[in-house]
Amino acid sequence: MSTTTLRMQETSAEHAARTRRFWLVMALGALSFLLFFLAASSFYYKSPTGMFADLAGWLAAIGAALVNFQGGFLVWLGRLVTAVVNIAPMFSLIFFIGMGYRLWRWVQEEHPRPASANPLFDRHFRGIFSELVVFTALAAFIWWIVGNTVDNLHRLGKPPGFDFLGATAGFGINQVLFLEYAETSSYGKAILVGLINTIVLSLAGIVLATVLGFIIGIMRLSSNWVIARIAEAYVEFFRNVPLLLQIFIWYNAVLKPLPGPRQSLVVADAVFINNRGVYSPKPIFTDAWWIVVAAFVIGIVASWFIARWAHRRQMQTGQPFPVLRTALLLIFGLPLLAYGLVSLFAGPPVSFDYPELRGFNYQGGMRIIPEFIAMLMALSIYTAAFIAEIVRAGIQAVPHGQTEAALALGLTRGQKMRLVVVPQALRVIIPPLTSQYLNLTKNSSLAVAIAYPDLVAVGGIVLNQSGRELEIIALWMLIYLSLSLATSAFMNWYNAKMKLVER
Amino acid sequence: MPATTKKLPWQPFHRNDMLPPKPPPPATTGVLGWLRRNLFSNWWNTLLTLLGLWFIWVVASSLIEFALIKAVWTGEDRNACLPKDGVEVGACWAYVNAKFNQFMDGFYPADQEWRYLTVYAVGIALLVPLLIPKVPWKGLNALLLFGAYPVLAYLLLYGAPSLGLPIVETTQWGGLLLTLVIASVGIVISLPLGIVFALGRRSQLPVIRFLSIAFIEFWRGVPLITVLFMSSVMLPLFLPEDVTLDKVVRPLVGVALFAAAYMAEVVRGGLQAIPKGQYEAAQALGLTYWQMMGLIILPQALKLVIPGIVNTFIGLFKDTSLVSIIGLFDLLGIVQTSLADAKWSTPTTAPTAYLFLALVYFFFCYGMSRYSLFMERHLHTGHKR
Repeated sequence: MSTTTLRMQETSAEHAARTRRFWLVMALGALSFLLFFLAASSFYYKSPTGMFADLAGWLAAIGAALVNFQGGFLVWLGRLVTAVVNIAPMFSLIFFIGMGYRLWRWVQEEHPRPASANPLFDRHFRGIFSELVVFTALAAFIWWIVGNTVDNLHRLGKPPGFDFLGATAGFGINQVLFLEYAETSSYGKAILVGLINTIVLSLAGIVLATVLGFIIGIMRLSSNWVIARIAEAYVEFFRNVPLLLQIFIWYNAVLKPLPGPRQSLVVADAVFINNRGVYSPKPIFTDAWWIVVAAFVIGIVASWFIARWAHRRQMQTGQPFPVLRTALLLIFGLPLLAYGLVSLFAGPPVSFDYPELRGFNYQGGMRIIPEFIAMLMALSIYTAAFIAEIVRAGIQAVPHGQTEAALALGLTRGQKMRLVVVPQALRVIIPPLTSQYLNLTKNSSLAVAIAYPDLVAVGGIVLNQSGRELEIIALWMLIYLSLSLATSAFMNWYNAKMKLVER
Repeated sequence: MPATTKKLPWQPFHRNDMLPPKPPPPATTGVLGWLRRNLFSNWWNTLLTLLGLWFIWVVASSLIEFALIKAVWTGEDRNACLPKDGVEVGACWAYVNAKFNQFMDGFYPADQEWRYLTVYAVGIALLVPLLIPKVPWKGLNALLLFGAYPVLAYLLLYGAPSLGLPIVETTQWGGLLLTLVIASVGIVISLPLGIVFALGRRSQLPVIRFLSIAFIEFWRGVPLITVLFMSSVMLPLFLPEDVTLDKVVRPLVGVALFAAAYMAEVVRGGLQAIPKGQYEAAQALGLTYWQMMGLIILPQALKLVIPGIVNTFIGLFKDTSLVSIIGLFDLLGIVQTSLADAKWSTPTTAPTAYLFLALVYFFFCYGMSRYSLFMERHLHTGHKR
């Protein structure tokens, strides 16, 4: 019995009935779209022709944004975004065309059974219909909101646009890295400085939280009862107290009571800790420094080739090679050797500028502001509690049989961890670990509470000065969102790559 | 071959007496055995144990000394908590005592305090039986808690002049009261909304699925503080000119939507964990989509993800502290504000206030996590191996 006979064939009369229904639905859909469009355009465009005027304006704006590259990248991007937002309601038209196409395909497709007499009882039809209803309602809602916003902004006399980013900022920022920033710089530059501060804080926090989290996570699995309980108490306490409170504790209760500059705590006669921050010697590199850097890079590249060669040799002959030790020797030994040689022949390639107490504060050297330290401590200690739990769960997820098999094969304890347990645990650990990194990055926005100049804090100042709520908040969200989406795209790729291949 | 009689060059060794008995193996049971196994199995372990004990001693003793032994319990103003004769004092509990009412309810009129206390009492009376699995009438209980209670709470907290309850503006709400209001409204809204979006994300309909994914990924991708800024600054822009939204309602909208997105992901995890056979069996029985979800899938899925749901609740509760950044006086906000009071400015005021805050937040969050552990064990019906 072939499969086709299992299907009930549609008669031509039924097909004709279905086609009639299709046109009926299309007519209804067109009518609803027309009504919806008229209603919505009365909110947004005030007249239907306004929409087409806007379309022309939109094309002109995009053209202008592409051609006219003045005012820095952010301003240019802002113009592009403005142009796209202006035309957003037009996207609903594309949607309706797509819906029509789906309905048409539904009519054309062969169906396993005759469509029900009543279209409302047909699963496909009902699906498409409910989507139509949901989308129309949502589009109307968004249109309503956009219309209100545009009205309100015009009433307040600040039509939306990102051109204000080119205006002079006029405020100072107490931590500027990698960029030249002065009070005369633009708002756009100030926001860029904030973004860099966010990134620096997040990266430092991620490194510290990972180290701390792995230590605490392994402590929780320790066979030593006291150590395991300490780790458990750490996790339970720091997970259950709000991060904002922890930031305040570090900033107001730990760093503020530190002594003033004249009574600084001194570490090794070079690092000074007081309530204005941590002052440490600042390295000054001479021209010969590049030789040391080059040696470092050569070490890394050479280690990579050695690892590849060792892997291939082990696959062919079974002879292992101490890759890790060689790599460490190369990566750290070569730069040291280079440093020594350069010092010998051309004088030391790096000198230090030590901070000195002048007047009421330290001058020179490198200063780490207390806000940064408070944020770093709070973020990494808080996130480490979550990472510890992830690490514990990951290691416990490796079945005990794997450990036993590894030991039965005669691997040492170190080899067992390195070759059997950790690779399998990492598969479980890395996805939630990445989401913790993302959380840490997003939580770094709490810096605004203690005025560490991150993206949100600087943006907040710009918001207050320029009164551009819509644009600044859109900018914040755009930046954080693209960060998150990029990370989750990477995670999807990674998960697909690392997925356990089973028979 | 004949047996050789030749004398061997060496004499075989015969032992004629018993070896001395070996000492018994170290005990592996009992207190001593436990100590030996877990704390002092080798020199490294012993070192760790001693270090750990020393660490515990340092932390615990300084904490107890600060919070209890050297603490100041009574006093009228900062003079009570200043160092006396050069001797530093510990926690200034007198300050917490003086500000306690403010920490609990913000600027709620003192003569109306019974109103929110009644709300607390009724809430506990309705919540506790719902949380204890053995108490019957769960349906009625839930109906009262989620149907009648919010109306009662609103009338009591906000007021209704027609019932003789003068209106207390939300600007006067604060402290723990505001924290609890925001957290519970957020929890109650975010769970059903999260379920809806989780179902939407698993839907067969492409547009609904796309919209759900867009919603979830948007809210999960941005920090809560920007959401709060948006809800406090931009929500008024979104609405027509003549509509004004209450200052407390604005962040509530933001918090609820934000939590709903996280909840949706948790619920989706549960939906994905349900074997496909359950869906197919439900469909084979002729159940409609909503019957299948309501009767077969969701009860199992939600049970699986109770820990995740409670974790989201805990996160939400902690995140309510962020509303202090946008100028609301929740528990953290009002304590932070009170630190600026010159009447109580001493070196130990801030540490005391933060210790108090940490204890309050820890009490709620830890309580929730313990309850989730209990529920997880209680609902454990043998699916897991």
